[in-house]
Amino acid sequence: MRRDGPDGGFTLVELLVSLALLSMVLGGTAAMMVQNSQINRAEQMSAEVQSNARNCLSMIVQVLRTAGWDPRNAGFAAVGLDPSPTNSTNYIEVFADLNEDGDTNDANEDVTIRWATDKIEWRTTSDTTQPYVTLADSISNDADADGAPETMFVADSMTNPTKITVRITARSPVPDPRSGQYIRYTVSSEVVLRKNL
Amino acid sequence: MRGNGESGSALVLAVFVLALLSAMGAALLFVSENEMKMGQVDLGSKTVFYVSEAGLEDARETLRVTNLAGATEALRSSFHDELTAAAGANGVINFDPAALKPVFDASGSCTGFTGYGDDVPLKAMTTFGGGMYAAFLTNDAVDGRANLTDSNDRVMITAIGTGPNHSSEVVQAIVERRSFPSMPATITMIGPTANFDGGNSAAKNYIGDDCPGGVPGLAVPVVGVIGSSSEASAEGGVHKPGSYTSGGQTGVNTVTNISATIDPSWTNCSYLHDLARKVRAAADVVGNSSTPNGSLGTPGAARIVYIEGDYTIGGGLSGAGLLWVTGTLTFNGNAGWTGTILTVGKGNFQRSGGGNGVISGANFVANIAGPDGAMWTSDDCSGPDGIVGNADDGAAVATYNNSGGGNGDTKYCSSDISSVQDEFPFVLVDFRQR
Repeated sequence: MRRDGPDGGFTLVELLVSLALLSMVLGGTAAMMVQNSQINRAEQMSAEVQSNARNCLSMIVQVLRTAGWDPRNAGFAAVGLDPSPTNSTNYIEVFADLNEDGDTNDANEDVTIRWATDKIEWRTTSDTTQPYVTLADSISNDADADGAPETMFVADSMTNPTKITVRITARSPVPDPRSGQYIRYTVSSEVVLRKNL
Repeated sequence: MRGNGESGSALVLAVFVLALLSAMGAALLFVSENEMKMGQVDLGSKTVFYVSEAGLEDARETLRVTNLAGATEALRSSFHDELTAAAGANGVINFDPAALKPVFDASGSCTGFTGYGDDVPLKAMTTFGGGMYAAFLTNDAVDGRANLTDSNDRVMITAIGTGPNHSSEVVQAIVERRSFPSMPATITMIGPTANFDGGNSAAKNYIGDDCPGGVPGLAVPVVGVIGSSSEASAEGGVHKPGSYTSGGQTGVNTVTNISATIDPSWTNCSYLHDLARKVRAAADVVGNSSTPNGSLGTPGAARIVYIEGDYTIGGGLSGAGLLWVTGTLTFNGNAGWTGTILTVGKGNFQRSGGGNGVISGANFVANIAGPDGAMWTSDDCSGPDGIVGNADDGAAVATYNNSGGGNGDTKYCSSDISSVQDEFPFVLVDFRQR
């Protein structure tokens, strides 16, 4: 029963209705906040995945552009190709005589880049006893998500390569909270070996 | 002012929801801005690289044009004068690629470059694609960077490019003056047991002596082949020995095994493939068997023509330039040619019927197309067995059949050869992004 007078308060029904309305509004708001958080997380992951793939590709392309730099005319090959490019550790070996002493034995003159189980790594020396250094993590190289990684380095010719197509697919470390699917981002670049052009 | 019974919290809720939406918008804006910045960085690095590479290409062409404009053959045949000009007033090449740096003003615009002493840039500061570039000439590492004497037709070009946000990139290339190795014979036939037939007409001459306007005293074999068995095979096609002359030699003596002297590039199947790509890329006309003869060059307007497949030149055409045919090339009647003919692919040159057309320059025949006779297929360079990876890989038997009558001469002429080959860009032997 509503009380008369200017200091009348709320009835129980009013209170319940207002609480119900408030709950609905807050519930909707909370859902929006959760969704907002998920979008934010997903977008951040997407940005990280893109950044990861792009940076990695950029570094690899720069190495490949200098492949075969041979100012002393020593006669070495520009690249060494993986004879079985569909295997689980697809690689390419890039040679360049950067200090112009007629060989590729010095630092950064013999660079092997490979994909090995979810990461790209490289070794920047001809000394095969040296370990590989990780260039990028979370690289699945599986753009179609069929569980079989695609070949990262594809040459236009196995015997006389003039162009290398580099294709990298980065994957988010955890699934997108909205879809439950991993975020994938693929970048590729066709690098013309600028030698004898 | 609220009236009686109108109490509520709509404003609070509205402000709350607005704040929430703003936060969401701000988060999305942050992410979008982040992506945009990543894109800009990526674009910037690509821009500055391609600006520097543009500078390199500009300098390569400038060097070719400058070299070609030399007043004498001596100037045109080396880079000595170009290196001397690059050295500047002190006569010394001061350029150091490691010291080359851009100079930016307060607004971020490039105003010049430092690190090259008084050297004269091959390409002075040039605006291009939202950036600037310049290029410098030095000798190559084999001769020594500061050496003004060029011994190997190779020099180094260093180009620097600038782009947005004070970015810069330096690229280097070693370029070689010649685009083609020298033609070693009037008719060069690569591969085993050359199938040469010079015909039975004594009226036409095969000449290995360089033509007037060429190199004085130069004489090349009339038929140059690879290996002694190929030499013996080609000699079997010399039916009128008196028609063959070269440097005082006549007859079968003008057929020579040039294995030891030919530039090894000519016998390298991969090189011939690459050369075909270059010619196709530089060609004025890329055609096929349907391409009219009228599309070929003439002595007043020589052309580079690349024909995929078989081709027939008939009538009285006087063609000129560089002609590359990957299939069978057939010359009929009075047709002649001034320049270089490369029948490389199927490696089959046929000249039939009486005619007076003169071929002046050089002929090169190589069968690298494999048993299917078609260039650019998987059996290319597979040799006679058609299987890549066996010992016979390389060129198969080439055919040059000039058994028709007539009195059309076939003669070597270095000036006719070089007149077209000089139009090709200098070869970019090596490239480096520093």
